[in-house]
Amino acid sequence: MAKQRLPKTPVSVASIGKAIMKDYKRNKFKYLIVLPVIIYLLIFAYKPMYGVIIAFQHYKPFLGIDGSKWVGFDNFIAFFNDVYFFRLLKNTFSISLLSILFGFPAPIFLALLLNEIKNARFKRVVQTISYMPYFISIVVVCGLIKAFSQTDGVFNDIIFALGGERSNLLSVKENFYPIYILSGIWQSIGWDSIIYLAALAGIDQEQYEAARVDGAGRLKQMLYITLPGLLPTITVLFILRMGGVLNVGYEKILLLYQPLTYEVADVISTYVFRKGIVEANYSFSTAVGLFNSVVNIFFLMVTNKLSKKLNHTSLF
Amino acid sequence: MKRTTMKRFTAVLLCFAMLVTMAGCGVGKTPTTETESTPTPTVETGTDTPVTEEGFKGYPVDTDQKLTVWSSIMGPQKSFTSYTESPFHTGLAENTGIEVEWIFPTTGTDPAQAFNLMLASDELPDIIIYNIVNDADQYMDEGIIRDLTGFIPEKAPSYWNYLQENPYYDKTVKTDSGRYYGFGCFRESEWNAAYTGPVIRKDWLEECGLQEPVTLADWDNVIRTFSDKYGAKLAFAISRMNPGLAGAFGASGSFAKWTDELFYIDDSQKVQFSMSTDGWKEYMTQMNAWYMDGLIDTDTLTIDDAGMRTKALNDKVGISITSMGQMTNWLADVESSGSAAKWEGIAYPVQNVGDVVMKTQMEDTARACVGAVTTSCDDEKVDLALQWLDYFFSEEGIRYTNFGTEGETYTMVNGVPTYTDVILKAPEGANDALDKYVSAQWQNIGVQATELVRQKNNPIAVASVDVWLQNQESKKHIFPAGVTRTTEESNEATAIINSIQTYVQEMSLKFMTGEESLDNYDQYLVTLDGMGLSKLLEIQQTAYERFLKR
Amino acid sequence: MKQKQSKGDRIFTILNTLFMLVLVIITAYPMYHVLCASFSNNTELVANPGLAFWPKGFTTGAYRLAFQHPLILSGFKNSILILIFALPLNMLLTLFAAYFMASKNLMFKKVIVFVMMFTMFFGGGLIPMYLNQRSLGLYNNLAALIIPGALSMFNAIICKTAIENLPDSLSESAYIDGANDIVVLFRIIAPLIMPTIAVVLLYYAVGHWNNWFHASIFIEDNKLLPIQNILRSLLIMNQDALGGGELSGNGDRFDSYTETIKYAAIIITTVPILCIYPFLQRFFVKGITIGAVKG
Repeated sequence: MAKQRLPKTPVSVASIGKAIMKDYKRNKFKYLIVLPVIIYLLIFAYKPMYGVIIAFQHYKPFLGIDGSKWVGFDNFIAFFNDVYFFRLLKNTFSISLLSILFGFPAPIFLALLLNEIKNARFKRVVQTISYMPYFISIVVVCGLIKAFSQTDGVFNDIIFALGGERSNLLSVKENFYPIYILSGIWQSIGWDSIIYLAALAGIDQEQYEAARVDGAGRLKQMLYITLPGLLPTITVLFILRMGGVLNVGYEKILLLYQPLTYEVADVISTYVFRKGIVEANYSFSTAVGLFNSVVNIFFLMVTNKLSKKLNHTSLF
Repeated sequence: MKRTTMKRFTAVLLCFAMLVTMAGCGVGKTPTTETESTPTPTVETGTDTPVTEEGFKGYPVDTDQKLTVWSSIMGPQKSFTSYTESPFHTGLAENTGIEVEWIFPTTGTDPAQAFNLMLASDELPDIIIYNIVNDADQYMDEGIIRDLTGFIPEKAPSYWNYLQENPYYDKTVKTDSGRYYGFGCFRESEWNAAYTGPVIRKDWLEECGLQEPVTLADWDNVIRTFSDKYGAKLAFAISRMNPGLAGAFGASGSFAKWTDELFYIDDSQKVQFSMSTDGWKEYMTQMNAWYMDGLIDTDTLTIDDAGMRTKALNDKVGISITSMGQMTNWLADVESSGSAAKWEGIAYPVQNVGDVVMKTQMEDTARACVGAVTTSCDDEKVDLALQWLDYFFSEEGIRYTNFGTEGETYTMVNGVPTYTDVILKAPEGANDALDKYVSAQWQNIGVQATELVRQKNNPIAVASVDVWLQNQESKKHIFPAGVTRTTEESNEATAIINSIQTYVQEMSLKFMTGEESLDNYDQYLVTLDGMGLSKLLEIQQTAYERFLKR
Repeated sequence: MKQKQSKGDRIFTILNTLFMLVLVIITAYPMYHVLCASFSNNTELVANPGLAFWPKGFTTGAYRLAFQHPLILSGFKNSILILIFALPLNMLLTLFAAYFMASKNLMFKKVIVFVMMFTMFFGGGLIPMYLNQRSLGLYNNLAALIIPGALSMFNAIICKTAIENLPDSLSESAYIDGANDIVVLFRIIAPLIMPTIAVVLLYYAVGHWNNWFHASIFIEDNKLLPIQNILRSLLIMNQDALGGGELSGNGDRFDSYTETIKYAAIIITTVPILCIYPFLQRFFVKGITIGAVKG
């Protein structure tokens, strides 16, 4: 990113003032444009941020932040000392990284292939249908997964037809990740590909013409024109995805796991959810949330830096 | 004997109160009196409106004051958008003469969250109805709810009488230090509190020429026969196995997540952790043996009620454990599919004929919900709030909340209120119809009548409950819902319970499926202890003892 | 433009088409399953919850019952009102934020961008958010569901990426013609990133449509609830996995439509939002000829 450097010496108030005036004169509309955004964020994002204080309290809703007892790092210590802490961390990372590994490239793959479909109507139908599963409530999706995984369910019918043996798939811990991740891809591949399809629309058509003249086949065009054209979008989404590495939602896991698969399936969010049932422990969940944020930001920064080095695109 | 003493004592107190009031009358009515900023729970405060002069003259009360009530229960039936359309709520306002503005968590909203946000917002209603039994002391100390100790005897005479007649309920609605904090949700008898038990395909039993199984050996035989003949194994939704068959082994405890099955009271009044006893190990051994022989349906590990319903309808199960409500579903499916299945409730199994089952599924007859008066309720309004709450314990109130209006939803048959066809033949089903007119169907302030539950359910399911209640001593082993822990105890205990719960659930299923050998049971106990089990039991024991002393 | 295809290209086309067909089948099927289930007879559905190719014992009972739900219509009305008012606001703030983040040579850009991005990763949590909104009067009204969610930084970043991909020469020539940034943003940039705007609009629309959580904490009156909250109450009725146990005590509710009504409710709530996509899809048509502008 080209930045206009300010003269380093001499740093005087006057020169800074001058620079500011100059910057203002040139960019005042830009600042004007961002002003509503800043005001909005101050009111709705920054004002409530004092709330993280409750991570260091034993917060009671009625007593409020002013009246609740201060406990320092107790909530964090309780979390780190929990017998399940490492298991939760391991599972959360496993599920998240596996989801990224398989789930992140899938929609890109789909978008690339969709782009090669020449029949406009067929393409449109595929697009529209492929994003439908995204709208089925997770409660229902998990209900279907459960029904299909039973010994007499559809999955077992298929396994049996292929010569395998019937079993209750969801009670075997080795099956949990495949079921979780594949169903996730199935549910969101179409939806997630939409952004790439939009980005494809921005690729210069002349490049394809030129490539064709040079005798490049479809696959080559895809690899050397389409994919690089998508790269900025891919990079940005990937960095953002890494910035949410610890955010594994509780709802789906809660609906799919059971004691025999806790060992691999129990994650931070489900743990916090279970704690929440026993008592409305806002302090504890805020503390865990804070921990998550710190880890997430760390991953975001690292990915951002790497990406800056490797392909010169970055979030900031 | 004790009760009469208590009554006499109350009478003396009342006389004393009246004297004080009369003496203070002239001064008391002038607006310049030093009104007490916080009402102390003394008898004097309770006598602002003397019973003798302008006291309670029965319902409806003549008042234009309004009450606001926040409640997680007793909401309007689902076909009404608001309580203003609901016959129960409008009828209640008419009967009591007190207009109430109800606030319920919106449909589909988590009540706990709604409750905590309400507290955080500082806008308290006059009355809250919520599960606050276990933290009542804290709520009083934080200044959220009022201490009602001095008020109840005079301002809520029906409730007071009810508590005097039911000392166990009396214990539940006061704290360890003897402070009364609210109006409870009670059930008329333990019949209402037991709703889960073993069921069997009677037609199969007859087909195989077998007797109804009584002992575990009989069960073993039936399970094997059904498995051989029909391919139907022992199947159940894990959530319904609390405590399942454990009672036959002198154990109590479940695979599922319910906290109340984690503890029970043993014969020597000691609090026990259900999943660490010898009986539990025997139970696990039996389950493991059945599992290894392929007699337990492996779907059992993941199945829920809906899945069980499918299995029942498809003849994939012949003996199971389920609830009265689920059984009603199964029976309805039988009818609409024209199946030949005959489901019937059978008694919990025992080791030897003549044994008594230690624990069957039974909840506490007192529930964790109470109606409490908040500190936002003005001093002048407290009386009204108490009168309103007391209605639910008056004879007419109990009748109204359970049966609705005479001549409309019920008629008297041989001295027993009996639902009319408005309820029993309602196109939407008895449950939905009842929700329109009564509140006692699920949880409500007041008393749930046993007749309500009996009349609305399928007779076969009702008969099953009668069977399930035979030959067991669950009641004396229940860890009471009203036991309270102090804040410190609570913090410590919840942390321990949380990890222990996860661990025992995992291990129970592993023992059952053989993934973990039962030879490692001792190691399991050691791990449990390392997680703080003995500390937890100690906390529970002291809390329980304080409860007994109330 | 008809061109002679190489053998490799032809094989690729065939495989690709086959792949798409398989994808269509496995993604369309569940929706079809839900549709079949919603028209099924409850008992028969309970008996065969597996693969369905046609409704089991056709009946529209579940739909009739669902529409009898007193809140379905008001739920629709509220959800649509939210979309009508929220989407313009969303787009405006998003474009503002994106345009700023994509501009160059700004002295305070780094600081301001940090201020904006920071909000993606840190929040104050539920209770302060709740109290803040209540104190602003954004409580128990539809504005409470519109204004606080007016900007998603994630979407702003997507727009920013699209703007950055445009050639600088575009805005520069506009400046020379005397246009200010506001004109540049709306007249030049916005039309060129229409595909991205369409996606972001879709993201916002679906986000609003599916959001039940905010309404569950900021709405007190059932009549103001959006459709998803109604759907949720239908779906998780008796669902102890999420509720943490049976609350009802004496056995649970019996309802002859329990299963089918869930599916009917999904169809009712999903179909409207599915209809939006084909309208936006035309913006994804390849090559809104940036090349032409460039040249």
